[in-house]
Parts: sequence; C-alpha cells; structure tokens
Amino acid sequence: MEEINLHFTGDIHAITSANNLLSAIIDNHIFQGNELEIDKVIWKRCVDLNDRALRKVQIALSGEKGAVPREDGFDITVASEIMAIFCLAENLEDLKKRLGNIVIGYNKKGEEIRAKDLKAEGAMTVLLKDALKPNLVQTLENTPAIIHGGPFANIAHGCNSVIATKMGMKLADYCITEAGFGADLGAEKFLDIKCRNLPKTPDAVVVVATIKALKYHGGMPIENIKEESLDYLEKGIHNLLKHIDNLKNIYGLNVIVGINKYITDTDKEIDYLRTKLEEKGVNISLVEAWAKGGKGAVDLAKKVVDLCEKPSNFKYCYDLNDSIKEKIEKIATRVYGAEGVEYTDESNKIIEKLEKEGYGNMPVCIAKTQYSLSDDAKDLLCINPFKIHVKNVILKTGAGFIVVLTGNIFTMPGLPKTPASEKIDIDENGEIVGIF
Amino acid sequence: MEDIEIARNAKLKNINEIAEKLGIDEEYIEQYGKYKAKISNKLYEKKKNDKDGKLILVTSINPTPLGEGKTTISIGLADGLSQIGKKSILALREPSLRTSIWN
Repeated sequence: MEEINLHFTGDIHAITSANNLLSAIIDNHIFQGNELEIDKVIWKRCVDLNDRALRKVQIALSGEKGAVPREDGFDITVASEIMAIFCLAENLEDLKKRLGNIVIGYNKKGEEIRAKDLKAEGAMTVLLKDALKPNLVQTLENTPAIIHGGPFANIAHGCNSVIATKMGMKLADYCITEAGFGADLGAEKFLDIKCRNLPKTPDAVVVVATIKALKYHGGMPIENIKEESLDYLEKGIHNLLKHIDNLKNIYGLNVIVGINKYITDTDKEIDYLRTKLEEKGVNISLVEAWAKGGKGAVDLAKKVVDLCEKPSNFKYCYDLNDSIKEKIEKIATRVYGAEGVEYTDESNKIIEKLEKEGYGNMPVCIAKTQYSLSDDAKDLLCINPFKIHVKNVILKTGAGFIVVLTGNIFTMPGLPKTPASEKIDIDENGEIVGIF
Repeated sequence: MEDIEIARNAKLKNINEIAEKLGIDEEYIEQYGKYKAKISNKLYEKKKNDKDGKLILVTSINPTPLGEGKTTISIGLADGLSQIGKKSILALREPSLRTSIWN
C-alpha cells in the first residue's frame, strides 16, 4: 500500500516534469528575445503537493538582463492539462500530438500560441514515455489491478487512462473501472468524454451508496447518522434514484445498486431501500467487502455477471455536433435536473468566440461542486427548481474538451490546520506509520 | 487491525505470477521491484484484434463527508468475481502524493 501511495512508478513525477519543462521553455523563449511575441502566458507550473502559498507567485525576479518578471501560479499535478491528456491519449503518437496542441498563451494580436510553436512536444513526450505504460499491481486477494493516471474530476474528466482500460479489457473477461466523485460528474464524463475514446461502452454500471450517506442527503445531522431513520432515508433516496434514472434512461445502461453495508444499518432501512429500488426495476446487492473482502461481494459479482448479459442501448447525453450551449444545457437539465443555465457576460463572449473559431464540436467538461446535483454545495435535497450558473469557460485543446466552470474550483488545494503529515513517521527499522 | 497492517499481512505474489495468470508474455513486462510492473503498450498492439472483456463502471451517489466506499466496492467486486471463478481485472486511478499524505 505504501508502494502505491508514495512515489509508485514515478508517473506523477513524470507528468510534473513534462508540465514544468513546458513552463521553462516558455520563460526561456521570452528571456531569449521573445520571437513569438508572447504577451499573455496561461500555462501554469505544477507540483504534487497541497501548497496554497503557490497559488499565485511572481517569477523572474532576478533582475538579470532579459528577465521579464511576470505573474505565474502553480496547480497540483493532477489538475495539469497534461494529466488529462495522458489519460485520454491512445498511444505515444497521439500523446505527442495532443501535447503539441496545448495552448500556452497569446501573442499581442490575441492569437493562440501552442506548445508546438515552441517545439516542446517532442521532449515532453520523451519525459512521459515510460509513464504511459500502464502499471500492474494486485489486490490483497491477488486479483490483478492496473493503476494508471488520475486527473481531477471537476476541471478534468476524472477517470484512469484510456490505455489502461483498453488493456484491461484485453487481459480479462471482466474489467472493473471507476469514475471520480458522484455519477453526475464522474459517470457523465466517463460516458460523454472517455467513452468516445474507448472501443466499447459499459456492459453494467454499479451505483454505490451507503444507508448513512442517503440519510445525510435527506438532511440528517451527522452526529445522529447511526440511528435508524426511515424518514431521512426517504428524503435522501432521491439522490440515488436520480442517478439511476440518468444511467438507465439517458444513457440506456444496465444498472445495479451496491450498498456498502455498515453494522449500524437496520433491517427496516435495508428493506425500505430494497422495496423502493425494486419498484424502479433495479436490483440491489448488499456488499460487505470492507469486512470480508471478495467473499463479501460474491452476491454483487453474480448479479453483475447476469447484468452484463442483458443488452444495453447506449446513447450519449449530447451529440458532438450540438452547439456548446446545447451541450451544457443538455447536461444541466437532463443529468443534473436543473431548469436551465445562466451565463456570465464573460462566458457568453468566450463561447461565441470558440464557436466562431471552430471549437464547437468538442465535448464539454463541467466543473461543479461534487456534493450536490446543483451548483450549490449546500443544497443536498434539490427540492426547489435550480439553475446552473456558468462563470467561465476554458478551452483545453490538448485534452480536447471545453472546461465549463460553475463556481470557484481550486486547482491548488491547501492543507488543513492539522495536516496528516504530522502523524506520518518512520521507525528505526524503516517501517512507515501514519499512512492509510 | 489498521488498514496498513492488513495490507502488510496480505500475501502478495510476485508480480510476474500475476502477469502470468493474465497470460502476459515476459517480454511485455518491466518489473519495478517485486510487486509492481509496467506493461508494454506493444502488448495492446498484439492483442488489438482480440475480443474485449465486459466493462463495468463503478460510480456513486453524490459524495458526503461520510465516504461511500466506491473503491472498496470496486476492489470487492473484482475479488468477488475471482471468487466465483471469473477472470477479472481492475482499472483504477493512481493516487497522488497529495491525497495520500498531505491532506
């Protein structure tokens, strides 16, 4: 576990290096006379640590002749466009092409400058060459696992690499993969972005929930969450039902619910949930994998095998030929259940410009709070009609999608008052403590 | 037992054994220590025309501070499929330093 959680096989360090190589090339170009007349740099540096002091920095302050001080900033590595590119690339060649397409900034005329204008993509690809090979490890029960790539699920698509998923499907009869956050963000992007780069779409989808989390969605205070309450469960179940409805009826997929079972769950609560889901024609499986490992998930495994044999009728939520706004609106109204979308003047302008420049046929990647179906993190019930508020729009030409921001998304998190690092240590035998 | 003790007590197999179980030829495996390996992308080229296995997506309700256990279920499902004699594999995201250590 430490081996996976620490430096692993160095993939993330390689991504950090490739990202920062591009930054170094940009600033060197400016230092050496700025032939391309780079006027505004949007490409940021990155580091794989939560360090809020780096969100905004001043660079090139040495005072040397030619040094042009400018404002820069750091993102965490997983938020780098290179991570998104890495996870969508089909092979080394596609990786190189996508890296070359990264827009690093603009010249004085407002024209895009790309990584390929700086001839950066070849060297960047060299740094990523080994990282692009998927990593094979195993579970505690010796089941093979490929662990590869991990972009943010808000400003990026939140799924492991296309290369790893494709490899997994060639190596086994059942390939299990995940998408970050809830189904509104993770599964939507898996299906509408990643699946456009996969040879097939899911044969079955498992929606994970816990009784406690459903009661929390119903408004139950966290300190009482272990107490039985059909009332709060009834209020909170809408969240699960909405995701099931989306996966079945928008995307046409086969769905099963996996309940991660806790000892505090009561029979009454489980029966209620089972009945509600059966009414919707959805199967449910109680999973005790946390306590019993694979034995605790045999029922789910059997049901998934059966479900995979059922035909599915996959459809994307939107068509690539839809306009940018149509795409945003389809996700907002169909997947989130919003009644509409509001745009700031700034985002209206950018969308218009992107359509004019011919970027309108890219998929959209919406950055929204993960806690609610709406863009208000505190509105868990979503009883009242809500709108989605688009604040900004960013083109990611390398990744090949348009990021749509609905609020402030930190691409460089900070540490809490007592960081976990205070508890991490190593003893005289080299045994690590404090990593979970 | 703490999670990390469970992890340390589990009997991991040499990664070559795991690769062998998947039918991967030695020439496509680059070992990183005993328990990790990189798989050459040339293997995909070789297997390009083979039939794809079933694809199962694990997702969840909107996350809460209580944690839903998506990865626990994914791993459980892959192990559960092994238990009933099916050939399964996981394809997951790699954790970064920031999530495992510094939060």
